[in-house]
This record gives sequence, structure tokens and C-alpha cells, in this order.
Amino acid sequence: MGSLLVFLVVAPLIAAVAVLLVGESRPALVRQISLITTLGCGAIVWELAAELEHIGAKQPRDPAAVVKPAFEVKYTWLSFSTVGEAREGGLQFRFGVDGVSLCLLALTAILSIVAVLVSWTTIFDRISQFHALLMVLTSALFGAFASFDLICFYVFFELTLIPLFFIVGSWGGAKRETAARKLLFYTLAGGLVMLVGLVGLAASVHKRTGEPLTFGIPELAAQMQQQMQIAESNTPQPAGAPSPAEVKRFWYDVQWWVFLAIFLGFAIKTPLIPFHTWLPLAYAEAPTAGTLMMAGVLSKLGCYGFLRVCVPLLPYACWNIGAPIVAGLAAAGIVYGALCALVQTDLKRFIAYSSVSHLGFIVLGVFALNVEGLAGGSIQMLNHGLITASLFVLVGLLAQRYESRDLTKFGGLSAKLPAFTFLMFFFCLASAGLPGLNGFVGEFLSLIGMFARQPFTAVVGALGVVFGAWYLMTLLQRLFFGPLVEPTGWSDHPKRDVQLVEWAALAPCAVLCLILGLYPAVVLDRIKEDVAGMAAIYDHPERLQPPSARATQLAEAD
Amino acid sequence: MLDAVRAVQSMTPLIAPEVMLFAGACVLFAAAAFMQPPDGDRKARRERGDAWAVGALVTILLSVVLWVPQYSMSAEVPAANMIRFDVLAWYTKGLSFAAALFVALLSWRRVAPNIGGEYYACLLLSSAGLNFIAMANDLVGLFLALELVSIPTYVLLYLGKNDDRGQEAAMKYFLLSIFSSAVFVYGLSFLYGACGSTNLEVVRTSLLGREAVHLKDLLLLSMVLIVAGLSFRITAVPFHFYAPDVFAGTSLPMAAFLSFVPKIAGFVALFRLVAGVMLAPTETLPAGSGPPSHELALMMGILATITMFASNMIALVQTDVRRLLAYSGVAHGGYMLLALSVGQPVELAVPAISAVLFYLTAYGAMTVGVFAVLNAASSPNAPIETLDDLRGFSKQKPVLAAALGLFLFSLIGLPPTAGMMGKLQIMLALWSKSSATFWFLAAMLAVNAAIGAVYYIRMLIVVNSGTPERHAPRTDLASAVVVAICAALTLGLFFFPSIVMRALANLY
Repeated sequence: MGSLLVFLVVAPLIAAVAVLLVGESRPALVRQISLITTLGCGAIVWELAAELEHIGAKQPRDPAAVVKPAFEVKYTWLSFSTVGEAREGGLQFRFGVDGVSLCLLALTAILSIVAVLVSWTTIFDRISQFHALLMVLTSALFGAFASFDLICFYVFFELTLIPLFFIVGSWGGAKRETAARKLLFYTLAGGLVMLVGLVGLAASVHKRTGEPLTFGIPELAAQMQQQMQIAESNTPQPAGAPSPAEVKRFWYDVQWWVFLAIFLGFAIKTPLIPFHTWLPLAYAEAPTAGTLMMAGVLSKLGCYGFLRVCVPLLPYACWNIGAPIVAGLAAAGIVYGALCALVQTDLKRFIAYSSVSHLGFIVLGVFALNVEGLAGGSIQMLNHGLITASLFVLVGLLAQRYESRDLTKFGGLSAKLPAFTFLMFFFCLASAGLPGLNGFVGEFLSLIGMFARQPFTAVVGALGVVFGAWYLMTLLQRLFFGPLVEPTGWSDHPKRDVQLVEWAALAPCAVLCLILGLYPAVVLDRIKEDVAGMAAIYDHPERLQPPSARATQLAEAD
Repeated sequence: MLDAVRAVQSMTPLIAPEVMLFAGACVLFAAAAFMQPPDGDRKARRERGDAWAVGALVTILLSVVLWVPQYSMSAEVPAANMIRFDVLAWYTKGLSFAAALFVALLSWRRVAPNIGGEYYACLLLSSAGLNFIAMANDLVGLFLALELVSIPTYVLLYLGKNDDRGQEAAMKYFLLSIFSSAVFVYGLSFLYGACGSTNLEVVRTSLLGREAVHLKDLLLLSMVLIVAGLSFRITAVPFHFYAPDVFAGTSLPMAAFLSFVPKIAGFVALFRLVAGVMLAPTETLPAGSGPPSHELALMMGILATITMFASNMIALVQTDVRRLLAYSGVAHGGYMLLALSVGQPVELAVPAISAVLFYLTAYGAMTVGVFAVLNAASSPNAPIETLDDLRGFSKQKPVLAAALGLFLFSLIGLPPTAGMMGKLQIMLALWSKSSATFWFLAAMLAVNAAIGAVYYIRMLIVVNSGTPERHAPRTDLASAVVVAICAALTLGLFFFPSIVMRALANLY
């Protein structure tokens, strides 16, 4: 099964090379190769999902393990052998799957298919280069979501920037160069600071425990748990070993700083306010396929990073900074994004701000740090990806037909474009959290989780649901009701409704939204054990409190 | 007498590659005096020019053949010799040969045939000098080796570009280099005064063995002077002022040479003299004794931080490609200096010097790669001066532009490139010290890498947008070969860093 994971990462890269070799002269072949590759990746993810269920049924999970990936493959990349020591640590390319990462792999697979299909009718310039970049992006995303090693994750996390930079910078709108520059610079700056944090975390664990230097997430999580148990133990320590209070002080400080560094990287990527300033321009200028990958999958890299790196590895920091401050930022972002969306006239920017708003629910769920919240956050990643990507496809479709994205220039389209109207209604309702559609499940679980943790933050977040319904209904009303208004100056050929290729892109997303809304257990069953493993760290709040001044004084007196 | 003969005999296999380089240089010098190409006959002139280049390339390749088996010779030499041989020396020689090879290829048909012989001979000599720096075990030997790198460089700068700006660059480099050498040798004299010997091994034992506490001030003075003198080579701020002017004034192959070779020389000398000796662990010594390692580490850390910030800030406003690359080189020198300030390892996963050597290799591949792309895309009639000359480059030369993109991503520190791996190594080295100062310095490194990204991204955007205004000359094969090798190294060092790190594992 591990080889399937490797194949998932490598196959799109091979396709990228193949597509470049085919060249610009045969666009149809380029598109077919890309479509077949993405479909193949989808099939692999399906197979992985089936196998993961088998494993879960056969062997019950070790309850002590915080992070437990299945189907692991490791390739030692660089080993640090200190002279005269038999034990080795090092960097690894390390892939695996657990329930949460499976969700994201599935999302990547689906949206990469959608991206290829959407490009069918929107990209006509340097087609093979575009598809090669899209394939590299897909590969990097698969790699990031399948990584269980910090540096391996970082590598794929940053690797996504290179194809994205070119996709935005070469195929984007009028201000594409500024957009690409901002996008690359902001996320890169966050990423570099994050790297310091990741290295610092692994180096601190290595120096403190004496274990070989490793970046493996499961090992680091286990070692961190061990250290935190020492910090709580009342039994006398062997002579020479640091006292429990001192151990706690040390790890509390390390986690604090490391969290700060890592937070910057993920907060910019997600983005949380006030780190979102690169986003509106990048989303608005990118071609449709780029926007849908950015909003659908890349924004999840940040949320997934919080879930995968911060929650299991930095419990003190997550409890004392993450839950109050980051979740607070998320709640503020929900309201802020909704208010910004209300006043937008550019359709793409409208969806961009609505996306920022809804992303807040994911972070809110993750930093609720309990089973409901983490599960809600995970499933909301999937939901948000499907809905936002579909909305961007629909907006792009409209913009392509009328060569305008100005909301004020449209009205009463329902009679002219019935299929488009139907799809827009469907996804807007899903986004607004209509029960029975998928948006409801994730937002509801996240809010429940947060309510148990911090009622006030949850209430602010819930306010965002109300605003969300408001601006989405306003959008629908303006676009589809009233007398027919169309932008002037568009070319006069008849406005065709949703085409076959576009149906092929959007229908699966719509069906998935419905399935996830009616029967969320299909996802929840797969993630519940992984989520429970992480939530178990936070079962004893008294252990996670900051070290008291008294205890520190005692430790110093020793 | 007999002992001296034996000593020379035992050294012979160790200096065989350098003897080869000297021999090649002598042949080229002698031949150049008698074989001036005929005037007017263009074909004959070109053939003569090619002959000089081929002579230099063959010499370098023969030296490489002699150098490769030296890897197994490491531990055989007594430390009291004038030269020592260890993995560091062996590896540095490899870098030196690579640099000479790259510059020789980049200069292919870009040097006037009537000065080709002298030009390539000087290149060989400076490569030999670099090899001797790597093997130096004596203060005087080290100084002589440094001069052996510098003096041919003056001639190379003079020969490389013979217009007003070229002359200015050569003169500027000449004067400042001599000044820095004087400062350096003044510092060496204090070190000799403090330790009573010019042999580095004796210096080392005298510092760690007996009480050096009353010598601390003297040692500190000598170290300040030595670091200042060597800072000229590694272009640390405020000793960097010559770099942008000289880079902009000289030819592209020489700019590539200056961006790489003096840095190797400077960092290896810094390690031999400062980091390896003075920053040794002092935990085992009685309190208060030992070299002033704490002050020294702090000084180097501050110097590195100033270097990174100043150069990255100034680079933000550059429009001339070569000045931009000069400041970029200064910044990367700062990153390496930062790693070197960690000093000698105690029980680290990544020793600082391994990180520095890895970064130096990666830096060489990506920086020389950028110069090679520029070299391949420009000719005397269509030079690349400002960033605007690169506008729309990706439409003119898609493959070269892709390679340039790779090098720029590497300079930024994005995967999958050597630059990212190098930054990771430096961060690991910094974090392995249990001191908040070094953790802070690691954060400073990240901040500076982010600032640096701004100007690299600007260059990337220029290359990939707009329509070209400049006529692009035909890509010449020799430069393309260098581009290919550098690109392969930039990717290869990311995916297979263990090849280099394993070679460096026996450093201690």
C-alpha cells in the first residue's frame, strides 16, 4: 500500500514531464494525459480509503499513540551520524495515511480533476506548460498531505509555491505580476520562519531526550508526551536529572516560541486575519483553475498544518495560545470576511472573502482541541474545499461568458441561464450551512466543540453563520432575480448555459456535497480514531496550565 | 638534512595536484611569450585562443585525476608539517578545481587570444593557491597561500576587461586587497607573539594546554585583526564596498570567479585560524583559561547579522544585475559566517563546519549558475547590464530561463534545491548550541532569507514577463555546459545531500 502513496506523488510528476514533451502542438493530447492522470490519482485515493477501513477493522489502534499513520514508507534522505555513535537520526521522505490526511488527499484528487476540466474551456495559451505546472502542484499537494515528517512536509508545503507562482504570474489577469509577487513573498516569508520553528522543535527534543535527531511526527509526539509526563510526575527524579518543574518550564518556553514561528507560516498560508492581505488580489487575478486550487486545497495546507503539527506536538502552546488567541483570530476572521464580502462588487473577490470567512470555522474547530472540534475542523476542510472551489468555477464561468466580474452589472439571470442558476443556488446554500448539505455538518461540529471550550468565541463565530446567509442571499438575489441586466459591451454570440465539460467538473462536487451533508458518517467514521488520539492529550487541562511562578522559584532554588 | 628530504618526500603525493597546476601554468606562461597569434588572421587567432583554454582545461583535469585518490590519504601526515591533510583539505581542493573549471569554461572565446596564455595561467595559479590554503598548517604558509590566490586575481581582473570600468575595478580590488592582507598579517604577528610558534598545531595546543588567561587581550586583538583581514575575502559588511563596483566593472566570468573563489579561501582560512582553534570547547579547561571563545563567537555573530541585514537591504534597490548579485553574494557570506560562529562542535548532529562547507558548495553551484546563464545569454554586442535587459527572457530562451529560475529559487531557499538544504543545515548547526543567542540568530537568518526573497522574486518576475527588447545572441556551448552542471548540482544536492555529508562526516 505504501507504494501506492509514492505513486500518488510521483505519477503527476511523470505526467508533467510527459505533457512538456508532447508540447504545444497537440493540446487535446495534453488535456487527455492530465485528465487520465488525475482520474488515476483519484482511483488510488479510493483504493487507499478502502484499505484503510480494512486495517481499522482488523487491528484496533493503540490508544496511547497520538499520531498513527498507516501504510508507511520511509526513505532515508540524509542521516546525521555523529561519529562513534551507532544510533542515527536524520531526514526522511516519509509518507503515510491516517483518516485526516485521507480526507485531504481525497479533496486534492477531486479538485485536481475539476481543475483539469475547467482548464479545458479557459486555458488556450501555452497549454502544455500550464498543465505541467498544474500536475507539479498536484504532486506537491499529495506529498504534503501524505507526509509524516516535519521537513518532508515543509518541503512539499513550500514546493506548492513554485507552480502556483507561475500559474498566477503567467496566466492571471491584468495585475498578475503584483499578485504573484505578493503571493510568493508572503507565504515564503512565513514558511522560512516556520522552518526555524520546525528545526528548533526537533533539535530541542533531540538535545533534551538524548534520542537520535528525528523529524518524524509520530516519534516527536510520543517523546513530547513522555516529557510532559515527567513534568507532572511526583516521584523523585534520579540524581542529576532536572526537576519536574524545571522540565515543565523548559518545554513551556520552547513550545511557546516554536508555536509562534510555526503559527506565522500557517497563519499566512490559511490565511487568518491579519495575515490575509495577499489573498484577495491573488484569488482575483489567478486563472480559474489556479483560484480553485488555491482556495480549495492550498488554504487547507495551513489548517492541516495546525492540525498535524501544532496540535499533537505543542500541547502547552496550543492550550495557552492556540485556543484563546488563534481561535479568537479565527472568529474575528469569520465576521470580518463576511462583512468584507458584503461590500464587494467583484464576484471573485466576493467569493474570496466568503472563503476567508468560512475558513475560520476550520481553525475554530481545530483549536477547540476536543473530539467534536477536531472532527468538525477536519470535515469542514473537505466541505470548504468542495464548496469554495465550485463557487469559483461558477463565477469564472460567468466571467468568461460576459467578460466581466462586476456584480452590479448583472441581474435576473435565472431565466437566461437556468442550469447555472441551479448550481449557484445549490453551492451557495451549501456554503450558508443549510442542514442537509455538507456546510452545516462541519460548521455545526466546530461550533459545538468551541462552545465547550470558549463560549464567547463560539458565539462570535456563530454570528458569522448569520452574516454568511445574509451576504450569500444578497448575492443570489442580485444575480438572478429582478429584470434581466447584462453587462454592456460583451460580444453578441448567444450566452450558452453550463456546458458538458463544466457539468462534468461540477456535478461530482455537488453530489459529494449532498452525500456529506446527508451521511457525514462516511468521513467521520474514518477520522474518529485519529481525532480521538489527538484530543486525548487535552483531557487533563490542569496539566496544561502555564508553570506557576512558585514552582519556577522552587526549581531555581534547587 | 636527511629529515628535511624525508619530509619533502612524504609530502610529494599530497601536493601532486598543485605541482601539476604549477607546471601547467609555467608552460602556459612560457608558451604565451613566444606564441603570439598573428594579426589579422581571424581563424588562426581563434584557434590560438582555443589552444590556451584547452591547455588550461587539460591541466585542471589532470590535477583532478591526481586529487581524487587523495581521499584515502587523510591521516598519514604528522601535524608538525608545514602542510596538513584532512577531509577539509581534500574537499576544499574539490571546490577549488570546480571553480577553476567553471571559470575556464565561462571564459571560452571571451578572452582576447593575445592574452589568453597569461589569463589561463593565472587562473591555474590562483586555484593552486586555494589548494594550499586548504592544506596550510602554518601561519606563514597560510599567508603565502592567500597571496597566491590574490596576486593572480589582480592580473586576471586587469586582463579580463580592458576598458575604463575594468581598470577601475582592478585598481580598486588591488588596493583594498593589499590593505586587507596587511591587516591580516599584522593579526598573525600578534598570534605568533601570544603562542610562540607559527605552526597551527602548536598554536592550538598552547592555547588549550596551558593557561592562556593573561594573553586573552592579546589574542582578542589578533583575532579582531585576522577576522577583519579575512572579512575582505568573504565580503562581510563593512568590508564589502569593493564587491559591487568590481563585479559591475569586470567581465562576467571574472565576476563568477570573484563571487566564489575568495569566499572559499576566506571561510577555510577563518575555520583554520579562528573557528577551529579559538572556538574550541573550553568546558574541560579550568574556569577563566582558554582562548576568548565567547567574545569571538559573539563578534562573528554580530558581524554576520550586520552583513545579512545591510546587504539584503541595499540589494532591494539595485537595478544592475551584477551589483544585485554582488550584494546577494555578500548576504550569503553572512549566512555562512553565522554558521561558522557556532565554532567547533561538542556533540552535534550537524557540525558547523560541515554546514558551512555544504552551503559553500550549494552557493557555488547556484551563484556560478546564475553567472553562467547571464554569460550564455550575453555577448560584447548585447550585454546584460540592468534587470530590464532580462525582460521577457523566458520567451527568448526558455531552457536557460528555466535554469535561471531554478538557481533563483535555490538562492531564495525554496525546495527542491540545494539552497533550501543548505539553510536547513545552517539552522541545525545554530540550534545545536544550547544558547538563546544562537536561536535568535537562526530567526535572524530566516528573516533575512525572506528579505532576500524580495529581490530574487523581482528578478524572476522580470525574466518571466513582458516582451524582450534586446536581441539575444546564440547560446555558446561552454557556458551551457556550466549551466547544466550547476543545475544538476543544485538539484542533486537537495535529493542526495548524503553524498556530500558523508564525505564530510570524517571531518573530526
